[in-house]
Formats: sequence, structure tokens, C-alpha cells
Amino acid sequence: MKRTLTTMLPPVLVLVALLTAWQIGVQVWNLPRYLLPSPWLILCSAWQEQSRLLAGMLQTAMAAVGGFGLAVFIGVVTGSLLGASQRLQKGFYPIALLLQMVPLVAIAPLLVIWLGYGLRSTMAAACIVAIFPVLASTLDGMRGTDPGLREIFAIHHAGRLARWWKLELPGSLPSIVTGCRVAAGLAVIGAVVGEFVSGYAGDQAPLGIVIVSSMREARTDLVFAAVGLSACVGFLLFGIVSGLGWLLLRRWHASAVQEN
Amino acid sequence: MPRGLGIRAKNACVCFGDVVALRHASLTILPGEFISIVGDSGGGKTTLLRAIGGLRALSSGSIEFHSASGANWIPGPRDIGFCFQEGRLLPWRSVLANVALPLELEGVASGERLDAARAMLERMRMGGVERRMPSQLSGGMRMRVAMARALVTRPRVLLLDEPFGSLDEVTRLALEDELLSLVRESGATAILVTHAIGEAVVLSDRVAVLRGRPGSLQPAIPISLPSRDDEGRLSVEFASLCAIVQHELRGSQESSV
Repeated sequence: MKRTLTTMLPPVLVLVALLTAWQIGVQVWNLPRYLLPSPWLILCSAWQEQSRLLAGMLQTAMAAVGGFGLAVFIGVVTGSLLGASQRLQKGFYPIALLLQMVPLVAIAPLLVIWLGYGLRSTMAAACIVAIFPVLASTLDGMRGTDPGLREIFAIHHAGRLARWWKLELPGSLPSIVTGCRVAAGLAVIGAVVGEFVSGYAGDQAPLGIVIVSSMREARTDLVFAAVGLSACVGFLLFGIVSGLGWLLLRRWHASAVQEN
Repeated sequence: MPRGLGIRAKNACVCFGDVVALRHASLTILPGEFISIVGDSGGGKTTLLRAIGGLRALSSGSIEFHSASGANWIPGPRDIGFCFQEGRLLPWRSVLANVALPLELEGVASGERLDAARAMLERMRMGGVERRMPSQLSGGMRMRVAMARALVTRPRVLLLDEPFGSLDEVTRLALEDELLSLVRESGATAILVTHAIGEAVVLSDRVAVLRGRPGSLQPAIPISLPSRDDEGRLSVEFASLCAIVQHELRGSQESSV
């Protein structure tokens, strides 16, 4: 408990100090609200528009979580396949590297053409951004499998699938969990960027659309509120993934740390 | 009739590109025999052991197995147990799950394989630690677990690659006795690669020396001791056999200089 407090307290204090400075700065220099609204005003606006913002948050969270889940599945399967075959790896990995350099904003219109407006497109956008860290970390984990442990499996004539399931996959877990944590943050970014292009307007408009429409209405306070909430979605997803990762690696990790 | 398999290596050679790791090794091992291979580092002892275990493909020559009745035998997944120096336990599995792994890979039902693993751990006097993780064990305990895993399938051939190399003297002596009784009990053929001459002499029926680098295998020296315990280690025969093996080794060093 004491340790949690000492970890949490410094950033909370810094955050409170920054918000206070922001509030005072806006009032002292009398900055117009369309340019930089005060934190208090943002909070009040968010409270007034809570139903719209919460509905948007739910939409964005659905896109991010769905896209992240897809990215983990595709990333682990593809990474495992590439890890199992040198030929596949040589052929496909450079292409995967190149593909992840293509900006998402440029692909988003294509997603609309293929998948239409709405959740499917934004989910796909989140997935595309999140997939590479999972794939790369899975491949790294597979390649890093201890050759000595592979020999144990070879002695007992283990099949390829058994070797993957009982050796390579559990051995890669620490690396995969790290990739997933990076991917969790990226999935929310992907979802919001995807929403800028392919999100639905209306009552259930996701945060990306809330940001764009509030910008057009010069409601900077709502832009800040939506940005804050999308960051919250990111934190939440990152926290859940980290927690699940800790649970998965609890036994493994303790042994790995002590062994090193 | 011993359960162990006989092994015939004929002119076995292993090359990695231009590097010769094992040169024309010929060796006949009888079913149920305990043989040790000693020699310089880089002589090819471990390569020979791996070739016998099927972990290294031969560049030329052959290694054949036969049963005690003389019939040719192709080793199956249960037939060979391999015990490595570092133990090589899966760090994310408990001691029990590690020992049960070879049976699990063979598709043996969960209850049956865990019972077999428990029984083997009991036999190794490791009954109380089955739920522990490998990192929670001492070096000697890890080696016991690795031996239990190598023996859990009741192999016909047990291959030991410097299993006691990193252990302290007291643990090493205790484990040597343990190993000898386990091998005798199982009737398996055992091949031990080691740097320790005393260990090779006290455990083996014969000791083979790999001379040179890469080594050429010398005719194996038969070992006859009044007993294989502490008294045996103090006997004149033990001392003279150690001297003979040492002489063979020194010869190998002179020839490699």
C-alpha cells in the first residue's frame, strides 16, 4: 500500500500543479475559450455533455478493444508462422516492415471503401496500427527460444505443433506481452484516427467524430474533453493488458528473474 | 536379459562445413553396459553423444542399435533419455510438469503421466518439491529433476552429458551413487561424457578415451573395482585405473600439442 502511494503520489502532484498553473494562466492572461479553455471549463462542459461523450467513449473503446483483439490474434499467428519457417520469414517480414510505414490516415479512406462507415472500419484501423508490435514481438520470442530446450523436444520426437504450443509459445510470452502493451496504446490511436475518416456522426458518434465536429463548432472545451477521454480509454486498455500479462507471467517471470 | 540397447558406431564422422567435430569414431557398446567417454575439450565427446541421441546427423559412417537378443532396433521417443549439464528445465513449468514432459509429448493421459512423474521424483528423493518452480531449486536438486525427466520414460539408453560438471563435490558424490543405482535398476545402457576421471572410473564398466582434437577413439579400458562405493574409491584398483586413464589422456594431450 505504502509502495503504491509512493509510486502514485509524485505524478499526481505534478498533474495537479500543471492543471493549477493552466487554470491560473488562462484567468490571468484572459485567454479566449476557443483558443485555450480552462481545465474547470473543460470539466463543466464534459459534465454537461456527459451522455454524448460517454456514448462516444464506448464506441471508441469498442473499436480499440476489437481492433486490439484482432491484432493480437493475427499478430501471434503470423509471427508464429514466420518464426517457424525461415523462407516465410525472408519473404514476408520485409513486406510487413514496409507496410507498417504506410500512414494510417492514407489507408483509412480505403477502409471506408472496403468496409463502409462505422465500427468495422475503425476496428480495422485500430487493428492495422496495433498488429506490427505483436507480430514483431512474437517473431522475436520465437527466434529467441533456447536451442537447448528445443533439443529436449527433439530427443522425444515432439511434433511441430507440440513444440510450438508447449515450448515456443510459452517461451515467447514475455516478449508477446511487451508487444501487446505497446499495441494497446496504439490501438486507441488507430481507432481515433480511423474515426476521423470513417466514423459515424449522430448520437452514438465516437470520440474521433466528437473531436472533429467540436473543432468545427469552435468548442475547444469539448475537443479537450474528448481527447482526455480517448487517453482514458488508452490508459484503461493498457492497464487491463498489463494486468493480464502479469497474471500470465506471474510464475514464469519469478523464475526467469531469479534464474538471471 | 538387460533392457538396454546395444550400440554400434562405425567410422562415425560429423563435420560442420570444413570443421571436423568427430573423426571416424568406432565403438561397440553392449546392452546394459555403462560406458564413459573422456577426452580433451573439442575432442568430439559431446558430438558423439549427440550423434547417438539423434541430435546430430552423421556426415559419414553409421550408428546402429540392437536389442539384447541381437535384433536391429530403431529407437522410439521413449527409448533414449538425455541428461544435460545445465539440466535444461522449462522455467515456466513446475518440477512435476517438467518431469512429466516426455510422457506428455507422447500423448500419455494426464493422470498416468503425473503418477509416473511423482513416482520417479519419489525415487529421486524429491517428493516434497513437485510444485516448486525450477528457479526455486538448488543446482543439485535441478540435476535430480533433470535425471528424473530423463528416466521417466524408462529409456533403454541413457545419455549423460557432463551432468555433474557444475556441482559441488559433496552433491556430485551423492548423485553419482544415485545415478549408478538408478541405471543398474533400470537395466538401461548408459553413456557418460565427463571430464572427471574418477567419476568415469567409479561409474563405468569401460572408459573410452577420445585422443586428439578432433579425437580419435582409443580402445575402451575395462574397469573392474572391488566395489562402486566410497570403499571402491579408496581401493588400489581405483587409483591404478585412474592412472591408466590419465596416461591415455596425457598421451592424447601430447599428440595434440
